[in-house]
Amino acid sequence: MIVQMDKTEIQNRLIELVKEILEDDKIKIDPDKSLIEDYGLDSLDLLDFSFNIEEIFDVKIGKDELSGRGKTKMTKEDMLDEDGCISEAALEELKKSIPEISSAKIVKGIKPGDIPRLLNVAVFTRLIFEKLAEKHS
Amino acid sequence: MINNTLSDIILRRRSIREFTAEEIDIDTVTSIIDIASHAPSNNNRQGWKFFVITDKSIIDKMSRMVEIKLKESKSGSESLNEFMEEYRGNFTVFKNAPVVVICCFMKPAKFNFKIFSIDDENRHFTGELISVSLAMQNIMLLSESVDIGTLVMTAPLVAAHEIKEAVNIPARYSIAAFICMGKYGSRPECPSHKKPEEIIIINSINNKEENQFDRADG
Repeated sequence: MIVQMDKTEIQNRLIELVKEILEDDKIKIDPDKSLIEDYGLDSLDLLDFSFNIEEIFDVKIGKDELSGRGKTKMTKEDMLDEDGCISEAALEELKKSIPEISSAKIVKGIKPGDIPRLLNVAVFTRLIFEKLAEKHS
Repeated sequence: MINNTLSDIILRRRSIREFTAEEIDIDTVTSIIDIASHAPSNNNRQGWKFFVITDKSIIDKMSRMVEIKLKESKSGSESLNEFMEEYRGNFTVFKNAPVVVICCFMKPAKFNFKIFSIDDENRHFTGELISVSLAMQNIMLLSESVDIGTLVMTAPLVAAHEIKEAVNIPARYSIAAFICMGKYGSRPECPSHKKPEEIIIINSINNKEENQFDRADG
């Protein structure tokens, strides 16, 4: 059983995890930079990352949370406009639900499939922290 | 019977070991690799990188790395050492090529190893290696189509660690093989080729024992 950790501990462990996946212990990982766009992780690496989180922290990060929909209570369909892009209302909700990602990146024209490209260590840190707090409450 | 441009290229490709000094246009090389990388890859991961080396000093440096590794590697068998002494020249054939492409594949995601066991027969984790191999075949056939000869080499991998460091290959990539590229003066004869009946087995089944897989309900 994992005891409640503070955000710095969680973040440091996640940074170690990214370094393990990249097999590069010298690389400096900025928690605010995108795991995919800035550090070259791909979708399988993100899966690996999520599975490891489950093992290390004993919490599960769901697909809805990774899509930024965790707190919005929106269905997948609600999020989309007629072009299949994330609607303006949903963009505003997303900015609130994943505040760690720069709002400059959550802009008109992005699609749900683009969200994982924006994920960073800071998002995972907060999600894990909240889940651990829930478990211990 | 298949008889078209692609089959012609496949049939005429040879492993070229003697290249002319003629330079290969880098744009042609990058175009070949770009097209070749439309090969299928597991999960569309495209987990490959191609380090193109045209600088003779880098090629010579890699050759020296392989040479040193060969000198360091002696077996307990005198016969094997003698055999290697005669064979060692084959390890550095790449030094004569105007272009060496170091074909690399991303190491598999680690969760692969947590789900399924691995043994000599169960190599489910080799998707990235197979994928880069498919792209490598495309590179060779596309090269052949524009009269550039190629040779695939895995022998230089005896110095894989040193070469990775020298060429700045990220740790999470492994070298699959070198592809040497260059113009060639003469084309080797077609080597011996196995007959279809030696390599193709159709509908093989072992009926000795019935087991759970024989029943539709499993």
